[in-house]
Amino acid sequence: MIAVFLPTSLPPAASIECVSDVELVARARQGDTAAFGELVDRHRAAVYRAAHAALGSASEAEDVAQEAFLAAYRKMDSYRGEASFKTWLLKIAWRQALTRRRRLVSRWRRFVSGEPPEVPSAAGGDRSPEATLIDAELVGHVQRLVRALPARLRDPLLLCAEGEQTYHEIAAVLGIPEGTLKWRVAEARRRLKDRLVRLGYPDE
Amino acid sequence: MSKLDRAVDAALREMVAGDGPPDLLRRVLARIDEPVRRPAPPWLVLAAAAGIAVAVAVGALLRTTPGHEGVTPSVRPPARALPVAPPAGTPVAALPAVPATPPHSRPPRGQRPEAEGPALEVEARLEVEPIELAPLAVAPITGEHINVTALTLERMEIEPLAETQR
Repeated sequence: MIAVFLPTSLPPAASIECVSDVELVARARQGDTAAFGELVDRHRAAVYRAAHAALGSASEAEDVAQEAFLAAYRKMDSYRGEASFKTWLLKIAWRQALTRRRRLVSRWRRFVSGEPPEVPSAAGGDRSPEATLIDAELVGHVQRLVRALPARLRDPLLLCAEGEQTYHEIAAVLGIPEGTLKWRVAEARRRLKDRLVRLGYPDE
Repeated sequence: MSKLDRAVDAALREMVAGDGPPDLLRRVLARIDEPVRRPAPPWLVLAAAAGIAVAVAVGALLRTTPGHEGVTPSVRPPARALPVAPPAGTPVAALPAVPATPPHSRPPRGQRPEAEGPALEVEARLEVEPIELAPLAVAPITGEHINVTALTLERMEIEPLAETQR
């Protein structure tokens, strides 16, 4: 008599949290919305912050983040894996944010002559303890000066300020060489400090 | 690191702070099944624009070409003359027989049309009731008499220019 042992249950599915982005993308392509949901959860903050860096408005950044994930889901087949999924996703979000920024600026200029108003800072209410300790007024000055920077300097500076992406990833998102990115960040910081010194803050 | 560097870092971190809305996933998933509104492809827009431009150009050309003065109104071929109403009291006369043509007398494709011969006969005769026209009463035109007064020009006196005015 031959005894045959059959498994009484299927092996447990691998936890979705341990799956790589590439595997999740493959699953999402097959219509697995749970896999796509995991991708959204993983990269939600990075996408939102990139949009926030471009737009300076929390509500606009939320809208752009939503549109970016939708666009990514619909264009999932075009992702070839040449860059990381996160970089690919950030590129989509960045393009959408820039499109919205152009639209907002042109809308503003159509109705009102002059420069667009300063976009409200999303994090005005929950100031970090570090900023409170340093000088709230100084931080306010810095933020105004950052907004006054040209976009080609301001965008790299804010994207690098997140501290989550490497220079290589940010350069890919912005479509510029890594060396150019580093120079722009350094130049932006130099201009900020120059203007702060002119405002009377000593560079100690 | 100087105080200004720390201030710049803190300000930048504040400007990009945040993790995004917590219900972002729900919002994205709710819209995944929405139909995608795709804009018209550029070639289609260009083709439509080119078509409109050609139509406008042809229209302008036809207007300016001699022999095409203005838009020629489509002239209908003259309808068959209505039978003249006979005077009242005249008995209704039967119209002369008209060889009737079937509405679609064209032969099918590939088949030569047969010569129409005298075999066609009209079985039914049309009877048309006379149309009585009321006599037109045209009132004579009575225009008021127009009096034209003769033009009278006042006499003009022209003096020669003085030497200093030349």
